[in-house]
Amino acid sequence: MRFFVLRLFTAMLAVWGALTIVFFALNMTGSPVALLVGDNATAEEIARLTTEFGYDRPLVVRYVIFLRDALTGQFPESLQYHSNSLDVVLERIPATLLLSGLGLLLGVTVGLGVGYLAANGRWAWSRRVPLAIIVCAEAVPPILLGVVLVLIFSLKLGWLPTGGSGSWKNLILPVTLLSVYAAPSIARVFRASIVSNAHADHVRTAEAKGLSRRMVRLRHIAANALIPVINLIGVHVGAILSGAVVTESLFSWPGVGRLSVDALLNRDYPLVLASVCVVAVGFVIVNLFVDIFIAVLDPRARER
Amino acid sequence: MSTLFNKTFALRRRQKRNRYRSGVQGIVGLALMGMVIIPVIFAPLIAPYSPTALNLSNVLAGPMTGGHILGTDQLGRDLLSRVLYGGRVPLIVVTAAVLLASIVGVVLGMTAGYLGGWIDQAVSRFADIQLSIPSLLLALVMLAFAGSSLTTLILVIALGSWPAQFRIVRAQSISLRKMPFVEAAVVGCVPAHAILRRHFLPNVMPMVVVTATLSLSAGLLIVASLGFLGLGIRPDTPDWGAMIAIGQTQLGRSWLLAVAPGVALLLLLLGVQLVGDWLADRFSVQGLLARGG
Repeated sequence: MRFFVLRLFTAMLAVWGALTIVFFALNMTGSPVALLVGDNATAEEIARLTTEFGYDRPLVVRYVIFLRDALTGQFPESLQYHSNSLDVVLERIPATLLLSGLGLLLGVTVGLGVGYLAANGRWAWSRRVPLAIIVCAEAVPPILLGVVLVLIFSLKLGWLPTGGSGSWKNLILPVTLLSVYAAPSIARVFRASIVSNAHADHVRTAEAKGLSRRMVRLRHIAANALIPVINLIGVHVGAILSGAVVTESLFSWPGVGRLSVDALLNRDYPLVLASVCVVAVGFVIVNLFVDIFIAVLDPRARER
Repeated sequence: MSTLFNKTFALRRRQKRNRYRSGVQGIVGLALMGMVIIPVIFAPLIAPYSPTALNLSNVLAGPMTGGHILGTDQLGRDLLSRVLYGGRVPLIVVTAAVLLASIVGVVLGMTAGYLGGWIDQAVSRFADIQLSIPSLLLALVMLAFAGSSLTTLILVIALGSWPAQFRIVRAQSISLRKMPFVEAAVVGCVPAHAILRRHFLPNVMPMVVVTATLSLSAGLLIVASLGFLGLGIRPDTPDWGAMIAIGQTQLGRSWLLAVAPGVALLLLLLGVQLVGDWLADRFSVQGLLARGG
């Protein structure tokens, strides 16, 4: 129980820290008002906006106000959409969740499969080929892969649309691309974990009991080898979220990632702020769940 | 007796073969890295054309036409020259950033691991918190408010990669602190900075180098992604990420525009990774690392 309370506390600390980092990144370079109004604004306009946004107040006061507003969901108004930027971000959340959820699912499935093969193949080549695939796949820059996927499946073969959303066909290429952010390293860790587990004492006992090789591999080796992989999935949610920014821009998918890049390029800073805060909080929550899940599965993790 | 001898012999032979193979892996990796890095460094000497010289009468020329080995882009600029020059920004940024991150990570990690207590707690929590923001998003925020320049890019990438170094060095320092030779040094009144420099640094170095190769590839990917999203240095500076983004708009007419810089990046990443794996094997630190980011 102490573990869960402690973990919850750490998660809240992380949310606070993330908000703080974002706030100071925002205020590091002086007044954001100058950025907001652009280059050809008059001095009066800047002064008016400075008062309006409260940037004439001391940094500490602004920090406290920012924290209060962030916790109550009162983000400043988006300059492009003219409504609460948090609402604009939340509207795009389902699209991103759909894409990253499917991407993570595909990445984990493929990663576990390839990792299992690389550890348990019957012949040397059937272990080495998956391993070589893992090493190569880890080196492929996702933006290159995305472009090549579009080139082959959209332009040359004409099977799938180059971007947009609406039907299941729009999902295939982005989901494939996103899965590449997670699959290779999951496969690598799963393989290493299986190999290091293969000589554990409980495995020798299981073999001595006369269990079939398949049974030993699945129940006694692979099941235990999953724990580092689950741990890694927490990290990979971050990689997938980063990947979603690129993927959504590449395939013009209407999610949070593309929203934040568009906001950035259009100098809509309140919106950038809101989307980064939302993503950071989401990431913290996912990691909280991953840690709790691991603690439930593996009592050793609670001791730390 | 003879079976035991045979077994030992077979084992030794296998070890030898493994070492040989991983040596090959390292050499292949270094060769791949050199294949990309050396031409990029010497781009001004090698590149057949200026990377920014427009020639609107020879737009999107195919490869091997009119003296352009890879053809030209949508503004008639020589693609090969642009690919060569386009690696300079990522290489400079990532090398500087990884160096910076390693120094910060090693110093903080050794200090936190050696001293423990509230300093350790404070820095560790800070690293945890920073890891709770995905690195690309953190980079986006920083660039949004600080503007995109060589310095900010370096800082952004360094900020994203120091926690990895810090965590690994800290964990190693904690176990080093309990070693007899360290305790002997403490008893012998060797000052803390000397213990860290003479006893800790050489012992954490292998791990630091391996982690640096991981940070190198992660950093290269982030720089490329930022360039791709239009947040790179300046639009007229050739940069692989930005070139892939432009190439994407011209895919229907000339796919080489996006694929050529992408393949250069791919070869470099593959080289870095092979070298990293090889180093991890050499220093036998394989199991201690978890990739991801």
